[in-house]
Amino acid sequence: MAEPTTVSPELEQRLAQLSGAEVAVVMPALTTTESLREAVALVRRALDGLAPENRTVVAHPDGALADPAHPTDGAVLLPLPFGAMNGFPGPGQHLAEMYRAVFRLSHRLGVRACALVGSDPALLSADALRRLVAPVLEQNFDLITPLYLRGRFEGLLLSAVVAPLVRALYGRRILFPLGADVGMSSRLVERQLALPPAGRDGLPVWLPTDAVCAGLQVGQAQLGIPLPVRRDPPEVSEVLVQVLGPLFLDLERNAASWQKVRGSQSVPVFGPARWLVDEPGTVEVGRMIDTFRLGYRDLQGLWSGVLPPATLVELKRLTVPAPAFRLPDELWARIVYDFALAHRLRIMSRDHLIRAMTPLYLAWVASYADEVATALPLGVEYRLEQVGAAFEAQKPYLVSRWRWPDRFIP
Amino acid sequence: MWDQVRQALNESVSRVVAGIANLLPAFVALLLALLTAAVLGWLLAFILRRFLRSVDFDGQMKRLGFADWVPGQSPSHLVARTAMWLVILLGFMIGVTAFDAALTSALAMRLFQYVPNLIAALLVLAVGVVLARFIARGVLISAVNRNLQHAALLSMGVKWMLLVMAAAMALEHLGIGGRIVHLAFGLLFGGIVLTLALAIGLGSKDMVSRSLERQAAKPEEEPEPFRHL
Repeated sequence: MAEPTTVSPELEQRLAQLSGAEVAVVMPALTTTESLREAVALVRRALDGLAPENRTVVAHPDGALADPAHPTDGAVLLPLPFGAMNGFPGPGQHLAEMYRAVFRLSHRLGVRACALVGSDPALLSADALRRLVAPVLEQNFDLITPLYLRGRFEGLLLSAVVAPLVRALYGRRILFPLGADVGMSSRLVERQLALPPAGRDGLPVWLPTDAVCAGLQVGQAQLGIPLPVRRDPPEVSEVLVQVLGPLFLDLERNAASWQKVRGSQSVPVFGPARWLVDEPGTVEVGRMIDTFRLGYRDLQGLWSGVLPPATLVELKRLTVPAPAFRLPDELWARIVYDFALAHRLRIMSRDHLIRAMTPLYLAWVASYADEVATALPLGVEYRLEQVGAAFEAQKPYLVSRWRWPDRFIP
Repeated sequence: MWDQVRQALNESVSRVVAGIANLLPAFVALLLALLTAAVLGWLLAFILRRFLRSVDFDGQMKRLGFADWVPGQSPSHLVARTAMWLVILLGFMIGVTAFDAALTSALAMRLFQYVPNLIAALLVLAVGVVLARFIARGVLISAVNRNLQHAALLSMGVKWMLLVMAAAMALEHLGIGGRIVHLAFGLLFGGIVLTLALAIGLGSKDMVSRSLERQAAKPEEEPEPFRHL
């Protein structure tokens, strides 16, 4: 079932020395011996009473420790066949290979649970790490996605597209489907190794969706750390390409599954469920609205190949100056669905298509920011709940267009 | 004397009639060849169109991004039309052979020698048009996303520059124009660059200097509160 392992002879020798393990904690962000020592202590505290220490493996990037064969404080260490990651994982860091390597090692070790800690382990508490592993070991969960603390204007693409789309299509209300820290069961690892790796590169949006499609149990763990941010964030259109490209591909791959899903259900949260940490304030959204209006003027020719006439008429209304700029959630949901369909039909170059969506996404951000800037935390959460509900309500529109893409939509 | 005139007239009339009589079969043969070629071409185009439609040729071309460079016509229609006209051209050449075999074979040889140039020119032009549209679209999207007010103008400029370049390359392959094409192309490009330089150097001098001054004096910007990922 599993694909053949491709590990170096040194790693093969090290794996042969280990007679299996119960838990593997993979920490690709470790860079020094000192950080590794601290991480080992963290793992020891986190898994106290959950798994015996000699059955717990801490996997670190190759080169994080001068002598990989030498144990730190008696812990079982294993070098990974890739270098240290530079902060929040980006597509340029061979994410797909990294995930495949983690799956293969977990399979070879025969672990019951594997925690992949992509954030800086120095920020993580023992309780948070425990929440990633304990539900897998004790309650038969298969995937634990992270909950981070974040401001109302952070992770906007997750709030605007990824989380609502996963909720509407796959029926699970996962707040951070693209988190850098996850807990995985052996069932999930075996499942991933059995799936073809083609099309599963880029950001791992496929991890929760594959799990849901396979009927595996998904949970969320509050990590109590800020949402990891990339040190040099790319411009908005590039972010859209990096996130929506894999997401739309995943949608195409799982079309047979999500068309059968009706409604959505909440996903259990381990630890505090609150995640909003900032204070209300004012923001400047004029530039984003300008970009949208410019997009409507100059990109209308491209949009008309993607969006139906009624949507274009509604967008035209938004170009007229008004006291408040509001992009209705239903309209936004239909726009995202139309772009997903255009991506599938290859109406134009996929890269161009997603980049052409940028002014529309900025219009959503401007509308959302204007609405929630002065709202209380509960108001912000309620607002995002409305976005998710709108995506769910508009799902029949996507199903209909997906099945009969040539049918005329007024 | 009148007898001589009549005789000369008779001879010339009979020569002309004989000439026409000689040409008429060849002319009828040309017409017949053209008619047959037209019927065959139409039939071939019909079959080709049906076949291409059955294998979803248009859809595949659309997916590959080759559909939007033949606006108003589907790629299968274009292929069928090209095939039909090639058959008609063949029929015409067969018909012309009926007049003078030596002349037409020489003409055919020259035409066939020219065919590779024609194909290369068409290929250059087609690739140029596809590339121009693709790059212009990319420029337009990037410029809009950067909030540039003249995004459409910029994109159109890029598109026409690439189209002119492709056309110049195609003409060179066809051997048309020769040095005139080189000269015109150089003048056009040089003109565009000079115009831009003058526009910025003279027209927007103050604006550019103000913008540079602002850039130099600008304090470290506050990070935007928006994080997308």
